[in-house]
Amino acid sequence: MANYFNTLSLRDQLAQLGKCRFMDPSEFADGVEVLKGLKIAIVGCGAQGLNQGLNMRDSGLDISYALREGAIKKNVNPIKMQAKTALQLELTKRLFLQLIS
Amino acid sequence: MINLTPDKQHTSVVNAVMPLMKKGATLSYSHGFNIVEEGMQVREDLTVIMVAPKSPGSEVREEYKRGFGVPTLIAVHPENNPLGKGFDQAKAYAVATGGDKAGVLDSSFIAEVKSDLMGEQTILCGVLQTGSILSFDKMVEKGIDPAYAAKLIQYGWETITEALKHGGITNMMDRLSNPAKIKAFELSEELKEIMRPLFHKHMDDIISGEFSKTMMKDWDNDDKDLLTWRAATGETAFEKTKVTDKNISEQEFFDNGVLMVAFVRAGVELAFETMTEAGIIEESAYYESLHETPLIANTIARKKLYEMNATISDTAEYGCYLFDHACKPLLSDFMKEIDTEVIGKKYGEDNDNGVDNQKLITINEEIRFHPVEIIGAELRESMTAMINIL
Repeated sequence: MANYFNTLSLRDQLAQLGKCRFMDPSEFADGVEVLKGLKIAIVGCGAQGLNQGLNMRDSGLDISYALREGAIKKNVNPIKMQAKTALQLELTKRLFLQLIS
Repeated sequence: MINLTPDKQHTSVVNAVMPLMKKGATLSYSHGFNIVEEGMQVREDLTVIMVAPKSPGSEVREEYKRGFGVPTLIAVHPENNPLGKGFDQAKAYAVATGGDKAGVLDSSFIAEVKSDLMGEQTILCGVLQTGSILSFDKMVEKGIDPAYAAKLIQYGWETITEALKHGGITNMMDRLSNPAKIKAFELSEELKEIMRPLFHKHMDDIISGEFSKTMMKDWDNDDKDLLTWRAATGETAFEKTKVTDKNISEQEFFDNGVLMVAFVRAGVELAFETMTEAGIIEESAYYESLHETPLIANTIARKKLYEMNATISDTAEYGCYLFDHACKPLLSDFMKEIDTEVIGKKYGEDNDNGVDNQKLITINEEIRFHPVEIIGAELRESMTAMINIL
């Protein structure tokens, strides 16, 4: 694999580096609609994985986790803390088994 | 499929997950290192997006529970947007995490990676680490009670940058007496001059890919450098000294920490200047420098540098050590001139507070008309406006 940035032309590099626009709140009028009903799996359950996932769940999205087998066996914090994720853990185990098989 | 594992695992995670993903599915990241620096190739039918909250994960949750969110960057990888749905999905994802309530940047994988690396290596972690160790050692050398010195540093960054969070560098500097402000300004000007070449080197190495190449070599070497440097940080005198039970008032952190204020101003301005000179847009540079500094300072308040380095990503930690190791020798002459009047004791205690009007006016203008202050005031105002709407 090659460094992606270095494969681009200078023109593209500059355009991408200089891309940043502060969005207007009105651009979010559709809310979470396009993700509703989709199956969303989060791989990893560190500080970002756990907390983004909880927010997304509370926003009405369908979230499952995929973790390393070691992390599941250790019963890591998120699983211990979040009784509600018991079902998700089941999904996770299944997903995980798929991942390693 | 949302990949929120550490950078080092991305390639193996994505390779494991891809065969399980349905045709036309979406792969999301919160940091683009794997795509930009490693050049991960993702199956053509898959959409690749990024939603990157500009805060540690704990903050993402706390803000959401308060009915708010944290500023968030979204992007679509131009090589993987076959159905043209990437942007709408990224927007909806930002709504789901609460990011839309704090401000969202429509940016690119490349801008995110290059600015994120620069911010975390220099001002966010590097300067705070170097500044902590040098300030602590100086105080102890000059006979300040080590327990007091440790407390002044551990909680000082948090207190000082709380002022930064509310009103930028201008407000942070305004918390000092006029003579102390002039002193902090002069020290930070010196620091900027000394550290500028190092900031440039970090930016250049990030842009050229040299930084990521070096770090990936360490990945292949079982993180030998990272683990050695992490252990060394745990052994510093600052880290090992118990803090005093004595109370330090909020104002005292400013009055007795003029050097720390100077470090923050120098680091934030240099990071912002270096990023914008390299072509990164001001909004992005602001979030990756000034905005995140208080968030990192909070981690030091919790449990010193060890906690900071445990909380930030391994990538940030690795860059932080590179910066720290190069910066300390650069500052050795500067530090020889430093005494307890600017770190450990109240500045100008035995003098009256008189200053030269013209000098004060010039310095105030230099501080408040710096570009990071102009864009910062604008962005902070739009965040406040959004809270009011809620």
